[in-house]
Amino acid sequence: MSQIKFSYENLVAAFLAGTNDAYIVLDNKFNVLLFNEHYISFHSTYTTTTIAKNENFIDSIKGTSLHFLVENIQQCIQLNENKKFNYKIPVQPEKYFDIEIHLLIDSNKKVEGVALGFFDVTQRYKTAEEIKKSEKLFKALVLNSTDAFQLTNDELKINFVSDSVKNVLGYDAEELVQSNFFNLIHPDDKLLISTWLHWIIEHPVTTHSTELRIKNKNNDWIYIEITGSNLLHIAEVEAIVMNYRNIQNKKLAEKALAMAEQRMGLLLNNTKESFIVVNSRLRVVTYNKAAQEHSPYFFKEELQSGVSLLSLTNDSDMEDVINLFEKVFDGNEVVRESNFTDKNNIQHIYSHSFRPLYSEDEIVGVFITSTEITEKKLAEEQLKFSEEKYKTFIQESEDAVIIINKKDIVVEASPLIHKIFGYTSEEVIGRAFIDFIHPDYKEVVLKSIHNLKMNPYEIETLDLLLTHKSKENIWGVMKARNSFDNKLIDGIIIWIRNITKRKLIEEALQLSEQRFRYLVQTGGDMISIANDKGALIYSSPTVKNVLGNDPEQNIGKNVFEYIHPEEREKLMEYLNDLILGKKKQIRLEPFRYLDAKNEYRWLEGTVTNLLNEPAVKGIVVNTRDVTENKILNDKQNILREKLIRNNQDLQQFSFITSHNLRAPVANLLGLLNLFNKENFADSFNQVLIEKFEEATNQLNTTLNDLIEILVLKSEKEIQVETINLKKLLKQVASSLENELQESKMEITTDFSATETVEYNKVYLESIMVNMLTNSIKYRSNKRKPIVHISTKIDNEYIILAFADNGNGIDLERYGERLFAMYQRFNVEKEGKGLGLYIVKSQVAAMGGKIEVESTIDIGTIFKIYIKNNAKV
Amino acid sequence: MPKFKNILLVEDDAITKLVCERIIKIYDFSENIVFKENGKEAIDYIQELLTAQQPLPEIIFLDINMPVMNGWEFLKEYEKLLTQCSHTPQIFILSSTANPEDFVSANSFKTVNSVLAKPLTKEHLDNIGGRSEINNK
Repeated sequence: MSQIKFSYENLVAAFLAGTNDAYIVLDNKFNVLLFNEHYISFHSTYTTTTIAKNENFIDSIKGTSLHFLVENIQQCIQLNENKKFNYKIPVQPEKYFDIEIHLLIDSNKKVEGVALGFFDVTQRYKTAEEIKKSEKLFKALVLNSTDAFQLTNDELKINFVSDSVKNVLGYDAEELVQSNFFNLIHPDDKLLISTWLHWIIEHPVTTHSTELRIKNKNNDWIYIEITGSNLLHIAEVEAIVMNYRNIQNKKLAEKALAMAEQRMGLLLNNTKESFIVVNSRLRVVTYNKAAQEHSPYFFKEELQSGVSLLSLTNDSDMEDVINLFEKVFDGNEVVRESNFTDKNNIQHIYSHSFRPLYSEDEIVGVFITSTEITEKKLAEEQLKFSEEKYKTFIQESEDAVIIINKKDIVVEASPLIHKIFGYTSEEVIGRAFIDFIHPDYKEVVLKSIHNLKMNPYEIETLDLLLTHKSKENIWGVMKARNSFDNKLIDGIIIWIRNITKRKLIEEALQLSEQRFRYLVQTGGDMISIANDKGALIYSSPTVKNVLGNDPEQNIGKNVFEYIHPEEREKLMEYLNDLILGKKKQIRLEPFRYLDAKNEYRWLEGTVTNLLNEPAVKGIVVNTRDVTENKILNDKQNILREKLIRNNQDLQQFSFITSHNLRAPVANLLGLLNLFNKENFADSFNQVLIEKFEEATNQLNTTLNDLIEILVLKSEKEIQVETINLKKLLKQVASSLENELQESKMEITTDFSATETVEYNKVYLESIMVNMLTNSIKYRSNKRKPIVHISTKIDNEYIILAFADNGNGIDLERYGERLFAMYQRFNVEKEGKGLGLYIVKSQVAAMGGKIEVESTIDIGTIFKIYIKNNAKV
Repeated sequence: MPKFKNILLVEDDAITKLVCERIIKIYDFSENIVFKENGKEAIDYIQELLTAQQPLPEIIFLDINMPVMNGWEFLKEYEKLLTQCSHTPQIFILSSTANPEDFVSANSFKTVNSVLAKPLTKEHLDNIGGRSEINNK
């Protein structure tokens, strides 16, 4: 371009006039030098004033929307630089300006003036803004996008690819740019992409999609869906534009779905259930094999797609069918049953369900399923029947039946609940079973139920207290079984029975058992049970008290071992009688039994045969200790016998006495009878008189004896004194002097044991006299008669013995009568036979006894026992 | 004519013996009287008669209370001998007893006819049957 030399001013003016932009020039004092027309409107727009030459620019813009220029100008001058900047004037209309502040420098390098240029770049800016925005957006979208955005040439060479390709394929954008996209495609899909590309190129601008596999950064093949369009001819683009996303998951899902659909299809077609889908106009959309097979049962014609269901329906059912579908289209699921008899005359029952099919809240069709329920129906009937039976069974049962579920809540209760609990079934159902159990038993019941859940094959039984509705407590027994496996029950069955009565009986029994125990344990009687051999099976605790035996210790031993030998035989006999059944019960008279100390105690009691009694199965022996009693009894018996003897004695005494009185009297009478009363001088009378005298004397003597004896017998207080035996003997010997001399009887003594006795003098004298007299009377003529008198101490007694060597007495023959009244043994010897009787009486009166030992032709010893008072 | 030929009196008391003898003689009760002091002597005598095959006395008056062998003992021994004799003498117990037991004992001996209370009297003798009566017994 050739340069034309114009004046600077002209240039400027021309320039200013020709431009669309606003210019203003200021001098170095900021006074306006010149400006163009565009600036006028610019200025007034933003300062609401008009600009004029020579006006101070700064002043004119101060406080206006152009105020910002002030600083900028000053900055430029300070820095001696030009400035170009962009500014958005914040006042309406919003405009963007590129502003230039240009310093005018003269040849001296001094600032002559300032030129300001305002270039409206709003449009450009806006566009840029827009572009920036969309760029931003684009970048954002593209960067975060799951889609990769790509520009290629017609051979798929990648000119540009968004960063988001990283999300899709894992590559960085840089890695792919300039490479060929084709290389990433799966070999089997290369044809696909070629075809796709070709189509795009053939149909510019229109988008076209396809799916293909591509290799990602991990070298995995992944499915992408690619959409592209040919924009080669578009100026700013000049490329094939495409975007693609990873549809691997989608593909997998599709595959899964396809498989599922396939499976479903298999199922559907292999199931006996028939499925039919009809659309909103009741046209058959699809159906499975079973539906097809069954169609003759349900429809008058064969099932086909597209056909209206109504056309397949029998006329007779038409109205029902229509009503049915109306219901379905109202949103209801309907179930119907139908039955059908096949060619074998077998009845089949089917259940059909009609379900509305929704697509986004709208009913677009009906899903029909049909199942044969013949068997199920039969089973149901049977079940109903058995349920009825079951219910009846429960109702008829004595037991209340409750079924509880997993949470121990009552789900069913038989009507008998009322009888037992007082609650009705309704009141019980829904409540926790535990609620009805007495607090003391709650825990054990819970434990029991828990155990059943753990061990389903067990049956739990326990006694427990229940709380009746009336708050009363009743005893029950509960039996429970785990029946979760039984679909009919699906819970734990609990049977409950009221056992209050039984409990009462048990209590009563316990009470009576206790009573028995008390009686047995605390009584004085011993109860023992033995078997039929006599071996001890049981001993009551009282054995300890009575015999000192441990009840357990003798079990098994034979009782007869402990019975005294003397009583053993009799008792064995009794046992025998019992066992043979001759008697059921026998009273045992006292027998001796060994106690723990191995001493005998007297027992008496009864023995009963209870071998056949199932509760006993043994011989029951009921005994008590009568040792004290026995001793007492024996004493009494002795006493009684003594009394009887005494009585007898007395009787005897009276008879003898009467006899002995009568005898002489009889004699007197006899003699009198012979008396010659007519002739008193009769010589025989003389004889009679003599005899009379004799008899009278005899009578007198007898009377005297009697009196002596009576006195002896009646003497209450017998005088006792200390008697010197030697001295007394001397006295007695002297009174018997003649008899002793005549008989040549020798008396020897031995009073070394004791020289004195405590006795009645008269008695002792009488005794001595009688003893000596007898010894003299019954002396032997074969030897020199000797009588030896001695004393000996024997426990409580002093024995005064008279031993002679006379003829002796035949004790066997006369022993009993020796001491009796008027017993004489030797016809030659004198004496009335009262001597020994008197001695005995006297000895007895002193509390002693007399004994005799004798041997014929050897001698006799009389032993007189005198109570030894000295001991006391 | 005396009622009986031979009678035996077993008694130890002298006065009783005298009275009995006299009564029997006066009333011609028996031809012969034999006196024995006690049961033993009496049994011996009976034994002698039996051995000698002599007739036994028809009547025996027997006292109870005698030494050596009393009346009861005699009767025991006597009844043992009875088997050997054909004629059985009548025995009358002559006693002063009051004891009922004695009467019971008397009855237990079939040879005893009865018990007579001393003293022996005419009435007693009259009540004792004659020979002919004995034979008819």
